[in-house]
Amino acid sequence: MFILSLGIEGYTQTEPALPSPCLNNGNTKQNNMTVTGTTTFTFNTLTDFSNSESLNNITVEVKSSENYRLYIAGEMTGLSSSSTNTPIPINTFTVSATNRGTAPATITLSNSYLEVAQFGTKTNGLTHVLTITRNALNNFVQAPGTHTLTLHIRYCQY
Amino acid sequence: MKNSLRLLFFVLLPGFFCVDAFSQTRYLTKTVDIIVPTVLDLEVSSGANQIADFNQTSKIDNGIELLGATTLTYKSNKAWFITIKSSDANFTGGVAETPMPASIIKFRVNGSGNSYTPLTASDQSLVATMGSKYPRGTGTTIIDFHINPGYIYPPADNYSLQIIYTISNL
Repeated sequence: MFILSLGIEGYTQTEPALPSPCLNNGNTKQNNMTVTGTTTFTFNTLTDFSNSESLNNITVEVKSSENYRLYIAGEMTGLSSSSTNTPIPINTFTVSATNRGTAPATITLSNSYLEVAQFGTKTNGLTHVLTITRNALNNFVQAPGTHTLTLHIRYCQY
Repeated sequence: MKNSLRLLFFVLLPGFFCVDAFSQTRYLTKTVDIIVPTVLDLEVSSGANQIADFNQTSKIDNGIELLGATTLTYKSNKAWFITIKSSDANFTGGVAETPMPASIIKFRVNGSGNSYTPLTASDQSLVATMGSKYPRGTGTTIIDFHINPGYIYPPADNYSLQIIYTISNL
């Protein structure tokens, strides 16, 4: 029963199409990624809807025996499935990462993977702090409630 | 006992392979919550203080029409409607024995195709209704007024009445 549930969980993740190249070399112990932190956007005043807000509470740590790139994609889940709600457009959000190397300084989030960091050698643990910016959301077509943005985070060797 | 151990081994072994196969150490997801509170906001963005000066006979004869007098800006992320009413049944000022009623002011949503409605101290629909609300969003509503006291009320320069606009999602 336990094994069955692991299998189901693995298949229910809807990861975007992998970027290329996306090598998968080395063992798990020396090649892995951890993601920590939580981010919640709130609107405390009416003017908050017209302003952008940046939060940098999510940290990605990568261990890699080879050079690698870090990719991020996003999708709106949660309230967006409601028939009366207009989902928050995914391009409302931008993401930047520390230790980005030659990756773009900022990406506009999309449903496809975009590179946010690149590191040209092996590492025993390099930290990338993600800054997620929510841009203005002042057309008021989203229903009140908790909207959920799911970030897909992928580390690829190249 | 030996058979039991052997059975346990074969049950667990595929389990280890399964965990290894699905360990997603190179792919993870993280959720970000965006908590959207209920928004219901109405602002008089222009024309908050209207003055009607009946300084010509023709104005008293015909009343004064104030086209595009007041602009309301609304923001609502729930279905909404707007009502209008006066703060009191009568104007303040003038002569107490002959109070000027709020109904000398007529209102309509801007546009010649719309008809004027006398103002009262009770809420009346201005935009949409409780039973037929407009969808969430933001925008403006422009209001015309027609003010026609006629010759019934004594002259005074201090007639005043407050108009109250209310946006609701109930």
